[in-house]
Amino acid sequence: MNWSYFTTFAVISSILWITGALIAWKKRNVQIAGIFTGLGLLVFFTFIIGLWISYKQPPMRTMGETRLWYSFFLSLVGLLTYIRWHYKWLLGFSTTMSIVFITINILKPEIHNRTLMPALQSPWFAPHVTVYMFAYALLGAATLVTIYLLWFNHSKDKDKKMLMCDNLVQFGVSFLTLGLLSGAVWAKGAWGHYWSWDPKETWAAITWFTYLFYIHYRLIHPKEYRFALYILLLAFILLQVCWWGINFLPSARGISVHSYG
Amino acid sequence: MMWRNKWKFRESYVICLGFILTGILLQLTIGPINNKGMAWPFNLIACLLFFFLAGIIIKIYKHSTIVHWLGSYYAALANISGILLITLIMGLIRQTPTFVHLSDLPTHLGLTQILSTWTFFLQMLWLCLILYTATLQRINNLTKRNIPFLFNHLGILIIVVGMLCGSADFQQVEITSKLGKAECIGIDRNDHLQKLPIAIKLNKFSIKFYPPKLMIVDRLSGQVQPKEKPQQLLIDSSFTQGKLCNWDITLKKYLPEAANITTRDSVKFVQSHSYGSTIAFYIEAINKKTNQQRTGWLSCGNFLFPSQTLQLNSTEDIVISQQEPRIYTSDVTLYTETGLIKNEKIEVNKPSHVNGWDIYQLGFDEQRGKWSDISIFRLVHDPWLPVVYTGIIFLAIGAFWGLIIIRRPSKAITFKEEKS
Repeated sequence: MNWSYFTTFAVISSILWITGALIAWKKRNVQIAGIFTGLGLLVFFTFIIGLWISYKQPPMRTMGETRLWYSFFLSLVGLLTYIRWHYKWLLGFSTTMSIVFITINILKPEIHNRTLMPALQSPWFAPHVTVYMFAYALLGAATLVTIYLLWFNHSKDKDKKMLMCDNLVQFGVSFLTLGLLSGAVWAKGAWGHYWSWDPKETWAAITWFTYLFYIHYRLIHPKEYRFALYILLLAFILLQVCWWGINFLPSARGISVHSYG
Repeated sequence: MMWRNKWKFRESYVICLGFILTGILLQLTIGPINNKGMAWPFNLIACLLFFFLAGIIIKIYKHSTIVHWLGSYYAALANISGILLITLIMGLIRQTPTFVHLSDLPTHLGLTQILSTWTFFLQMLWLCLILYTATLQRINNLTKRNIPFLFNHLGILIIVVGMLCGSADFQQVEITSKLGKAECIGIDRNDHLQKLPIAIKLNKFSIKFYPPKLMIVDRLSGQVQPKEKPQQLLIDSSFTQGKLCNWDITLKKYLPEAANITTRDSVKFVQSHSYGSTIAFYIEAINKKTNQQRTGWLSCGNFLFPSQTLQLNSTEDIVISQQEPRIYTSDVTLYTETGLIKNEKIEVNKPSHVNGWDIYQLGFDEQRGKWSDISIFRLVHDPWLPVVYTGIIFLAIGAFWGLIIIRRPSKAITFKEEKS
C-alpha cells in the first residue's frame, strides 16, 4: 500500500459517508445511515492499516498522516455521536469536515518522508498521537455543534444540544489530558524532561486551559450559551495554532522539537 | 450560606489583576525570580509550611468569604484567565534562556523569560491555593461524584507543586565524550561549566541509517521535481528499478562503503572499507519520451568526499539525499565518585540510570556521521520526578474516570428529537 492508492480509497469512503449522511438527513434511518458510515470507516481504515504494514511503522509522522487519522476519527466520532443522539445533521457536518481534510491531503500531501527520527521510535508514539487525534476529532465535533448552535439553530430550546456540546468537550478534554500526560512521560524518556515549555507544549497548555475555562464557566452559567459557545470557538482556533499554526508563528519557528513533518 | 454570592466575577478579576500588577511591580523592583535559594531542603520546608498554614487557615475560616471564594468556580475562572494570558504571551513572544541578559523593555518586563517572572509564580501559587481549597472542601463533603473531581484537581496540584519545587533542584548538563576518553565536565542550562559526580567513557559509537532517497532537482532553484508533487525513490535493499518523473531508473551497482577516484575526465567509485568511506550508486536513467539515456555514479558525499550528482539535461540533475539516522547507540563505561563502574548501552529513548542521574543519548558529530568519534549525552538529575509522576497518575485516573461518568441523554429527549 502507498499514497498513490489514497484517492481511490478516499473517494470510496467519501461516497459511503455522503450516502450515510444523506440517509440520516432525509430518511432518518439510524441503522442504515450507520451501516454506510461504518463501511466508509472500514474502507478508510483499511488504507491506514495497509500504509502502516508497508511502512512497518504507524503512519503518524507527517502533517498529511495526522490529517489521515483526523479524517478517520472525525467520521468515527460523528457516527458514535449520531448513534447516541440521533441528530440528523450531525453526520453531514462530520462528513464535510472529513472530506475537507481528505481534499487537503490529495492536493497537498506532505507525505513523502517515510523515515522516522530516533526520538519518535518509542512505544509512546502511537498512543500519544492516536489519543491526540481522537481528542481533536471530538473537539472538532463540538465545534461543529457550536457553529450549528450559533448560526443555524433558531429554536429557543438549546439545553439538549448544549448537553451534547458539554459531553463532547468533556470526552475531548479527557483525551486531551491523556495525550498531554502520555506526551510528558514520553518526553521524559526521550529528552530528559517531562515539560520543557517547547512552543508546541506551550500551545497545548493554552488549548487545554481554554477548554478548562469553558467547562468551569458552564458550571456557573449553564444558561448563558452564547459566551460559552464563543469560548469553544476560540478554543478550537487555539487548538489549530497548536496543531499546525505554530509552524507559521515567528515565536516558534525553528525552535520546536516537535517539527517533523 | 451568606457567603455564597458575595465574590463573583468582578471581585475575582480584580484580584487576578492585583496578582498581575504585584508581579510586574516585583519584577521591576527586585528583578526576576532566582530559584537557587529555594533548593533542597528549603523547597520542601517552604512547601510543607505553605500547605500546613493554608490548611489551618482554610479549616479555621472555612465559612469566611475568602475561603469559600478560593474554592469557587469564579476564582478558578479568573485564575485560568491569568494563566492563559501568561501562556499566550509565552506562545507569541519568543522565549530566551535565563542566561541571556538583554536590556530591552520586553526582557525587563520579563516577557521573554516568563518562567522567571513573579507574575507567573504568583499565578501558579494562586492556582495551588485554589486547587488545595477546592480539594479540602470536596473531601469534607465526599460523595461518589466527587471522586473524579478529587483525582483531577489533586493530580494537577501535585504536578504543579512538583514542578515548582523541583525547578530549583532540577539539573541538566550536556556532555561530549570522545572515543576512549572519560569525561566528567559538561555545560549546564545556564551555559556554565559543571563538574559532574559521574564520568562517561565512550567505548564505541554505532549508527544505522535509513536507505537514501533518489530525486530529481532543478539545478538553479534546488527544488525537488515535479514542483507540485515532489517525488522520491527510496533505495532500499530490494530496489532494482523505479520511476522518477519521466525517467526509468535502474540500479546497476550499489556500494555501501565506497571511496571516489577522480581521474582526468571522470569520477569513479570503488569499494573501500577505510576511514571516511561513503555510500555510492551506479545508475542508468532512460527517458522514454525524449529517448535520452544517462549513466553515472551518485553519492551523497561526506566530510571526506564531495557529493556526486548525475546531469540529466540542461536544467535537471539526479541526486541522492543525505542519509537520515535510524538508530544510534553509545557503548559507554560510567564511573561514579563512589567507585562504581558500570558498562552501559545508551540509545535515544533508552536512557541509562546511575546514582540519581539519567543519561540520555543526545547527538554525535553529524558531519562525520558513522565515523563520528564523539557522542553527546544529556545528564538529568530531577529528584522531584516521583512527585510529578504521582500527580500524572492521579490526573490520568481522573481523566479515565471522566470518560466513564459522561452524562447520558434521557431516552425521552432522544425520541422527542427523533420525532421533531
